[in-house]
Amino acid sequence: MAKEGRVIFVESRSMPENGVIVAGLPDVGLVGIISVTHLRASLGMEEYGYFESRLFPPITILEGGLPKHPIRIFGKDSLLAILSEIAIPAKAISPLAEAIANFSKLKKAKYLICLGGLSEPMRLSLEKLNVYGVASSGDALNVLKQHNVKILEGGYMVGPYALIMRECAELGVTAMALLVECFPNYPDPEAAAEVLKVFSRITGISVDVSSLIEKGEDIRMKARDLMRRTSLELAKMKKRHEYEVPPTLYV
Amino acid sequence: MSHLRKIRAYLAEVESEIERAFREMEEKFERFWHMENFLEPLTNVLVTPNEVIVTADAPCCDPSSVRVRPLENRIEILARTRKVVRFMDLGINRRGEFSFYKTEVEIPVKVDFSTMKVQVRRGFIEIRISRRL
Repeated sequence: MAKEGRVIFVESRSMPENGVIVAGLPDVGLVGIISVTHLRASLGMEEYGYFESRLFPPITILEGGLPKHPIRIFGKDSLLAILSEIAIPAKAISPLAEAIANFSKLKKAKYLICLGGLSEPMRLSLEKLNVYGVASSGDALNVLKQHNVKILEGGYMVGPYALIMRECAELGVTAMALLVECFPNYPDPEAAAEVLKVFSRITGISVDVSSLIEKGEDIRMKARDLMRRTSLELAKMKKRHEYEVPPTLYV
Repeated sequence: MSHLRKIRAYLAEVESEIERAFREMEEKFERFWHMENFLEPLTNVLVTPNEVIVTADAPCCDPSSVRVRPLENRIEILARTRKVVRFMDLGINRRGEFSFYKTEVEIPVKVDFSTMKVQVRRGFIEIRISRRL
Protein backbone atom coordinates (compact mmCIF):
# COMPACT_ATOMS: atom_id res chain seq x y z
CA MET A 1 0.00 0.00 0.00
CA ALA A 2 1.27 3.48 -0.84
CA LYS A 3 2.58 5.72 1.95
CA GLU A 4 0.42 8.65 3.00
CA GLY A 5 0.35 11.37 0.31
CA ARG A 6 1.95 9.24 -2.41
CA VAL A 7 0.69 7.45 -5.50
CA ILE A 8 2.42 4.29 -6.66
CA PHE A 9 1.90 2.03 -9.64
CA VAL A 10 1.70 -1.71 -9.36
CA GLU A 11 2.45 -4.09 -12.22
CA SER A 12 0.22 -7.17 -12.11
CA ARG A 13 1.99 -8.52 -15.18
CA SER A 14 5.04 -7.53 -17.19
CA MET A 15 4.47 -4.40 -19.24
CA PRO A 16 5.99 -3.57 -22.64
CA GLU A 17 8.51 -0.73 -23.00
CA ASN A 18 9.26 1.79 -25.76
CA GLY A 19 5.63 1.92 -26.77
CA VAL A 20 2.85 4.48 -26.67
CA ILE A 21 1.09 5.28 -23.41
CA VAL A 22 -2.34 6.90 -23.58
CA ALA A 23 -4.03 8.48 -20.55
CA GLY A 24 -7.78 8.96 -20.02
CA LEU A 25 -8.44 10.96 -16.86
CA PRO A 26 -11.62 12.79 -15.83
CA ASP A 27 -11.83 16.21 -17.39
CA VAL A 28 -14.42 18.39 -19.17
CA GLY A 29 -16.84 16.35 -21.25
CA LEU A 30 -15.31 13.16 -19.77
CA VAL A 31 -13.53 12.98 -23.13
CA GLY A 32 -10.49 11.15 -21.76
CA ILE A 33 -12.45 8.50 -19.91
CA ILE A 34 -14.92 7.87 -22.75
CA SER A 35 -12.20 7.65 -25.42
CA VAL A 36 -9.85 5.36 -23.46
CA THR A 37 -12.75 3.15 -22.32
CA HIS A 38 -13.69 2.80 -25.99
CA LEU A 39 -10.07 2.08 -26.91
CA ARG A 40 -9.87 -0.61 -24.23
CA ALA A 41 -13.06 -2.31 -25.45
CA SER A 42 -12.30 -1.97 -29.19
CA LEU A 43 -8.76 -3.33 -28.98
CA GLY A 44 -9.53 -5.96 -26.33
CA MET A 45 -6.91 -4.58 -23.95
CA GLU A 46 -6.12 -6.55 -20.80
CA GLU A 47 -5.39 -5.35 -17.30
CA TYR A 48 -1.67 -5.01 -16.61
CA GLY A 49 -1.62 -3.04 -13.38
CA TYR A 50 -3.00 -0.12 -11.43
CA PHE A 51 -2.23 3.07 -9.52
CA GLU A 52 -2.79 3.07 -5.80
CA SER A 53 -2.91 5.71 -3.07
CA ARG A 54 -4.46 6.50 0.30
CA LEU A 55 -5.49 9.80 -1.29
CA PHE A 56 -7.98 8.03 -3.57
CA PRO A 57 -11.56 7.73 -2.29
CA PRO A 58 -12.61 4.35 -0.82
CA ILE A 59 -14.09 3.10 -4.10
CA THR A 60 -13.83 -0.29 -5.74
CA ILE A 61 -14.98 -0.95 -9.29
CA LEU A 62 -16.91 -4.19 -9.63
CA GLU A 63 -16.29 -6.13 -12.82
CA GLY A 64 -17.74 -9.60 -13.24
CA GLY A 65 -18.44 -9.55 -9.52
CA LEU A 66 -14.76 -9.00 -8.67
CA PRO A 67 -13.20 -5.89 -7.06
CA LYS A 68 -10.91 -3.73 -9.22
CA HIS A 69 -8.85 -0.64 -8.52
CA PRO A 70 -10.39 2.59 -9.84
CA ILE A 71 -7.29 3.77 -11.76
CA ARG A 72 -5.90 0.96 -13.89
CA ILE A 73 -3.36 0.30 -16.61
CA PHE A 74 -4.44 -1.77 -19.62
CA GLY A 75 -2.27 -3.09 -22.44
CA LYS A 76 -2.27 -4.61 -25.88
CA ASP A 77 0.94 -5.21 -27.84
CA SER A 78 3.06 -2.09 -27.32
CA LEU A 79 0.16 0.17 -26.30
CA LEU A 80 -0.52 0.93 -22.62
CA ALA A 81 -3.62 2.81 -21.48
CA ILE A 82 -4.12 4.53 -18.12
CA LEU A 83 -7.82 4.80 -17.30
CA SER A 84 -9.46 6.41 -14.29
CA GLU A 85 -13.06 5.40 -13.58
CA ILE A 86 -13.47 7.85 -10.70
CA ALA A 87 -13.38 11.61 -10.27
CA ILE A 88 -9.89 12.23 -8.90
CA PRO A 89 -9.90 14.30 -5.68
CA ALA A 90 -8.09 17.60 -6.05
CA LYS A 91 -5.55 16.63 -3.35
CA ALA A 92 -4.51 13.52 -5.34
CA ILE A 93 -3.92 15.30 -8.66
CA SER A 94 -0.33 16.36 -8.05
CA PRO A 95 0.97 12.99 -6.74
CA LEU A 96 -0.91 11.15 -9.50
CA ALA A 97 0.55 13.40 -12.21
CA GLU A 98 4.03 12.75 -10.80
CA ALA A 99 3.38 8.99 -10.73
CA ILE A 100 2.15 8.95 -14.35
CA ALA A 101 5.18 10.94 -15.55
CA ASN A 102 7.56 8.65 -13.63
CA PHE A 103 5.77 5.58 -14.98
CA SER A 104 6.15 6.90 -18.55
CA LYS A 105 9.86 7.57 -17.94
CA LEU A 106 10.39 4.09 -16.48
CA LYS A 107 8.64 2.43 -19.41
CA LYS A 108 10.73 4.53 -21.84
CA ALA A 109 7.52 5.64 -23.53
CA LYS A 110 7.88 6.69 -27.15
CA TYR A 111 4.97 9.09 -26.51
CA LEU A 112 2.63 9.75 -23.60
CA ILE A 113 -0.62 11.00 -25.12
CA CYS A 114 -3.26 12.52 -22.85
CA LEU A 115 -6.78 12.67 -24.28
CA GLY A 116 -8.96 15.47 -22.99
CA GLY A 117 -11.36 18.30 -23.68
CA LEU A 118 -11.46 22.03 -24.20
CA SER A 119 -14.62 23.52 -22.75
CA GLU A 120 -16.79 25.24 -25.39
CA PRO A 121 -20.00 26.86 -24.03
CA MET A 122 -21.57 27.01 -27.54
CA ARG A 123 -20.74 23.35 -28.26
CA LEU A 124 -24.32 22.48 -29.18
CA SER A 125 -24.13 24.84 -32.16
CA LEU A 126 -20.85 23.45 -33.50
CA GLU A 127 -20.97 21.23 -36.58
CA LYS A 128 -17.26 20.44 -36.59
CA LEU A 129 -15.11 19.99 -33.48
CA ASN A 130 -11.51 21.20 -33.53
CA VAL A 131 -8.74 19.25 -31.81
CA TYR A 132 -5.84 21.20 -30.33
CA GLY A 133 -2.47 20.02 -29.07
CA VAL A 134 -0.18 20.88 -26.18
CA ALA A 135 3.34 19.46 -26.01
CA SER A 136 5.92 18.92 -23.29
CA SER A 137 8.91 19.42 -25.57
CA GLY A 138 10.06 20.59 -28.98
CA ASP A 139 10.06 17.00 -30.27
CA ALA A 140 6.46 16.50 -29.17
CA LEU A 141 5.53 19.84 -30.75
CA ASN A 142 7.01 18.69 -34.07
CA VAL A 143 5.00 15.46 -33.94
CA LEU A 144 1.81 17.47 -33.49
CA LYS A 145 2.69 19.83 -36.34
CA GLN A 146 3.61 16.96 -38.68
CA HIS A 147 0.10 15.54 -38.14
CA ASN A 148 -1.58 18.90 -38.73
CA VAL A 149 -2.79 19.35 -35.16
CA LYS A 150 -3.48 22.99 -34.24
CA ILE A 151 -1.28 24.09 -31.36
CA LEU A 152 -2.56 25.91 -28.28
CA GLU A 153 0.01 28.68 -28.36
CA GLY A 154 -0.98 30.43 -25.11
CA GLY A 155 -3.43 30.48 -22.21
CA TYR A 156 -3.94 28.50 -19.05
CA MET A 157 -4.22 24.78 -18.59
CA VAL A 158 -5.81 23.49 -15.39
CA GLY A 159 -6.20 19.99 -14.02
CA PRO A 160 -4.38 16.65 -14.06
CA TYR A 161 -3.11 17.02 -17.64
CA ALA A 162 -1.63 20.41 -16.85
CA LEU A 163 0.55 18.88 -14.13
CA ILE A 164 1.41 15.83 -16.24
CA MET A 165 2.70 18.07 -19.05
CA ARG A 166 4.89 19.97 -16.61
CA GLU A 167 6.25 16.82 -14.92
CA CYS A 168 6.99 15.25 -18.31
CA ALA A 169 8.80 18.40 -19.44
CA GLU A 170 11.06 18.13 -16.39
CA LEU A 171 11.71 14.40 -16.82
CA GLY A 172 12.30 14.61 -20.57
CA VAL A 173 9.29 12.46 -21.48
CA THR A 174 7.84 13.17 -24.94
CA ALA A 175 4.27 13.94 -23.99
CA MET A 176 1.37 15.62 -25.67
CA ALA A 177 -2.22 16.43 -24.77
CA LEU A 178 -4.90 16.27 -27.45
CA LEU A 179 -7.78 18.52 -26.41
CA VAL A 180 -11.04 18.56 -28.36
CA GLU A 181 -13.80 21.16 -28.14
CA CYS A 182 -16.52 19.69 -25.97
CA PHE A 183 -19.36 20.36 -23.54
CA PRO A 184 -18.12 21.82 -20.25
CA ASN A 185 -20.21 19.58 -18.03
CA TYR A 186 -21.99 16.97 -20.17
CA PRO A 187 -20.41 13.66 -21.20
CA ASP A 188 -19.42 14.09 -24.85
CA PRO A 189 -18.97 10.84 -26.85
CA GLU A 190 -18.87 12.76 -30.16
CA ALA A 191 -15.90 14.77 -28.93
CA ALA A 192 -14.24 11.55 -27.74
CA ALA A 193 -14.66 10.13 -31.27
CA GLU A 194 -12.95 13.19 -32.80
CA VAL A 195 -9.96 13.04 -30.46
CA LEU A 196 -9.55 9.31 -31.14
CA LYS A 197 -9.33 10.04 -34.88
CA VAL A 198 -6.35 12.32 -34.24
CA PHE A 199 -4.85 9.75 -31.86
CA SER A 200 -5.09 7.16 -34.67
CA ARG A 201 -3.40 9.53 -37.12
CA ILE A 202 -0.45 10.14 -34.79
CA THR A 203 0.08 6.59 -33.54
CA GLY A 204 -1.06 4.58 -36.57
CA ILE A 205 -3.31 2.55 -34.24
CA SER A 206 -6.61 2.11 -36.04
CA VAL A 207 -9.81 2.53 -33.98
CA ASP A 208 -13.40 2.32 -35.23
CA VAL A 209 -15.31 5.16 -33.54
CA SER A 210 -18.71 4.63 -35.19
CA SER A 211 -20.18 2.89 -32.14
CA LEU A 212 -19.29 5.90 -29.98
CA ILE A 213 -21.67 7.95 -32.11
CA GLU A 214 -24.36 5.23 -32.36
CA LYS A 215 -24.37 4.55 -28.61
CA GLY A 216 -23.81 8.20 -27.70
CA GLU A 217 -27.09 8.69 -25.82
CA ASP A 218 -26.61 5.50 -23.78
CA ILE A 219 -23.06 6.54 -22.89
CA ARG A 220 -24.27 9.99 -21.80
CA MET A 221 -26.87 8.41 -19.56
CA LYS A 222 -24.40 6.00 -17.92
CA ALA A 223 -21.71 8.67 -17.48
CA ARG A 224 -24.07 11.22 -15.94
CA ASP A 225 -23.12 10.71 -12.29
CA LEU A 226 -19.37 10.54 -12.99
CA MET A 227 -19.70 13.82 -14.94
CA ARG A 228 -21.46 15.45 -11.99
CA ARG A 229 -18.74 14.36 -9.53
CA THR A 230 -15.98 15.37 -11.97
CA SER A 231 -17.51 18.85 -12.38
CA LEU A 232 -17.40 19.27 -8.57
CA GLU A 233 -13.72 18.29 -8.41
CA LEU A 234 -12.86 20.53 -11.40
CA ALA A 235 -14.54 23.45 -9.62
CA LYS A 236 -12.29 22.83 -6.58
CA MET A 237 -9.28 22.96 -8.91
CA LYS A 238 -10.50 26.34 -10.21
CA LYS A 239 -10.92 24.98 -13.74
CA ARG A 240 -12.45 28.33 -14.66
CA HIS A 241 -8.93 29.79 -14.88
CA GLU A 242 -8.75 28.23 -18.38
CA TYR A 243 -11.31 30.77 -19.58
CA GLU A 244 -9.30 33.74 -18.33
CA VAL A 245 -6.76 35.89 -20.15
CA PRO A 246 -3.27 34.92 -18.97
CA PRO A 247 -1.08 37.68 -17.53
CA THR A 248 1.07 38.16 -20.62
CA LEU A 249 1.38 41.86 -20.06
CA TYR A 250 3.74 42.42 -22.98
CA VAL A 251 1.79 43.68 -26.01
CA MET B 1 -53.03 48.04 24.55
CA SER B 2 -50.80 49.04 21.66
CA HIS B 3 -48.19 46.54 22.93
CA LEU B 4 -50.78 43.74 22.90
CA ARG B 5 -51.79 44.69 19.37
CA LYS B 6 -48.16 44.54 18.28
CA ILE B 7 -47.70 41.12 19.88
CA ARG B 8 -50.90 39.81 18.22
CA ALA B 9 -49.76 41.13 14.83
CA TYR B 10 -46.35 39.51 15.29
CA LEU B 11 -47.88 36.16 16.26
CA ALA B 12 -50.20 36.32 13.23
CA GLU B 13 -47.18 36.92 11.00
CA VAL B 14 -45.30 33.95 12.50
CA GLU B 15 -48.38 31.73 12.08
CA SER B 16 -48.72 32.78 8.45
CA GLU B 17 -45.02 32.06 7.81
CA ILE B 18 -45.32 28.59 9.37
CA GLU B 19 -48.39 27.81 7.26
CA ARG B 20 -46.55 28.93 4.11
CA ALA B 21 -43.58 26.70 4.97
CA PHE B 22 -45.83 23.67 5.54
CA ARG B 23 -47.64 24.33 2.24
CA GLU B 24 -44.33 24.38 0.37
CA MET B 25 -43.24 21.15 2.04
CA GLU B 26 -46.51 19.45 1.12
CA GLU B 27 -46.22 20.61 -2.49
CA LYS B 28 -42.70 19.19 -2.71
CA PHE B 29 -43.80 15.81 -1.30
CA GLU B 30 -46.82 15.76 -3.59
CA ARG B 31 -44.58 16.20 -6.64
CA PHE B 32 -42.21 13.53 -5.32
CA TRP B 33 -44.99 11.02 -4.70
CA HIS B 34 -46.62 11.57 -8.06
CA MET B 35 -43.43 11.61 -10.12
CA GLU B 36 -40.97 9.47 -8.22
CA ASN B 37 -39.78 7.66 -11.35
CA PHE B 38 -37.88 10.62 -12.72
CA LEU B 39 -34.23 11.53 -13.16
CA GLU B 40 -32.77 15.00 -12.81
CA PRO B 41 -30.79 15.83 -15.97
CA LEU B 42 -27.48 17.69 -16.00
CA THR B 43 -28.11 21.34 -16.81
CA ASN B 44 -26.16 24.43 -17.73
CA VAL B 45 -27.05 28.13 -17.73
CA LEU B 46 -25.26 30.61 -19.98
CA VAL B 47 -26.00 34.32 -19.57
CA THR B 48 -25.16 36.46 -22.59
CA PRO B 49 -25.74 40.23 -22.96
CA ASN B 50 -29.04 39.62 -24.81
CA GLU B 51 -30.36 36.29 -23.65
CA VAL B 52 -30.16 33.40 -21.25
CA ILE B 53 -29.48 29.97 -22.75
CA VAL B 54 -30.39 26.98 -20.60
CA THR B 55 -29.46 23.51 -21.77
CA ALA B 56 -30.32 20.12 -20.29
CA ASP B 57 -28.65 16.85 -21.18
CA ALA B 58 -31.61 14.48 -21.61
CA PRO B 59 -30.39 11.48 -23.61
CA CYS B 60 -33.10 9.18 -25.00
CA CYS B 61 -35.83 11.76 -24.39
CA ASP B 62 -38.90 11.97 -26.62
CA PRO B 63 -38.68 15.45 -28.20
CA SER B 64 -42.46 15.71 -28.58
CA SER B 65 -42.91 15.28 -24.81
CA VAL B 66 -40.65 18.16 -23.73
CA ARG B 67 -42.45 20.77 -21.62
CA VAL B 68 -40.88 23.91 -20.17
CA ARG B 69 -42.86 25.95 -17.65
CA PRO B 70 -41.79 29.36 -16.33
CA LEU B 71 -42.07 29.72 -12.53
CA GLU B 72 -41.19 33.18 -11.17
CA ASN B 73 -37.38 33.27 -11.42
CA ARG B 74 -36.89 29.70 -12.62
CA ILE B 75 -38.11 27.23 -15.22
CA GLU B 76 -39.35 23.68 -14.83
CA ILE B 77 -38.24 21.20 -17.50
CA LEU B 78 -40.12 17.96 -18.05
CA ALA B 79 -39.49 15.30 -20.68
CA ARG B 80 -40.46 11.68 -21.12
CA THR B 81 -37.84 9.08 -22.10
CA ARG B 82 -38.46 7.03 -25.23
CA LYS B 83 -38.33 3.89 -23.10
CA VAL B 84 -38.48 3.03 -19.40
CA VAL B 85 -34.92 2.82 -18.05
CA ARG B 86 -34.05 0.53 -15.15
CA PHE B 87 -31.28 1.64 -12.80
CA MET B 88 -29.80 -1.86 -13.03
CA ASP B 89 -29.37 -1.36 -16.79
CA LEU B 90 -27.16 1.64 -16.02
CA GLY B 91 -24.96 -0.44 -13.74
CA ILE B 92 -26.48 1.06 -10.58
CA ASN B 93 -27.14 -1.52 -7.89
CA ARG B 94 -30.64 -0.47 -6.89
CA ARG B 95 -34.17 -1.31 -7.84
CA GLY B 96 -36.34 1.13 -9.63
CA GLU B 97 -36.71 2.69 -13.01
CA PHE B 98 -37.43 6.06 -14.51
CA SER B 99 -39.31 7.31 -17.50
CA PHE B 100 -39.14 11.08 -17.00
CA TYR B 101 -36.59 13.80 -16.78
CA LYS B 102 -37.57 16.60 -14.42
CA THR B 103 -35.74 19.56 -13.01
CA GLU B 104 -36.05 23.20 -12.03
CA VAL B 105 -33.39 25.64 -13.14
CA GLU B 106 -32.93 29.06 -11.59
CA ILE B 107 -32.64 31.99 -14.01
CA PRO B 108 -30.11 34.39 -12.44
CA VAL B 109 -31.18 37.56 -14.30
CA LYS B 110 -34.48 39.23 -15.26
CA VAL B 111 -35.92 37.73 -18.46
CA ASP B 112 -39.00 38.03 -20.61
CA PHE B 113 -40.58 34.57 -20.54
CA SER B 114 -42.89 35.46 -23.43
CA THR B 115 -39.83 35.23 -25.71
CA MET B 116 -38.93 31.71 -24.57
CA LYS B 117 -37.98 29.31 -27.39
CA VAL B 118 -37.43 25.59 -26.85
CA GLN B 119 -35.48 23.32 -29.20
CA VAL B 120 -34.47 19.67 -28.86
CA ARG B 121 -31.38 18.42 -30.68
CA ARG B 122 -29.81 14.96 -30.29
CA GLY B 123 -31.16 14.57 -26.76
CA PHE B 124 -30.19 18.09 -25.65
CA ILE B 125 -32.96 20.47 -24.63
CA GLU B 126 -32.06 24.08 -25.38
CA ILE B 127 -34.13 26.97 -24.01
CA ARG B 128 -33.44 30.55 -25.08
CA ILE B 129 -35.05 33.47 -23.26
CA SER B 130 -34.45 37.15 -24.02
CA ARG B 131 -33.22 39.28 -21.18
CA ARG B 132 -35.40 42.05 -19.85
CA LEU B 133 -33.25 45.19 -19.77
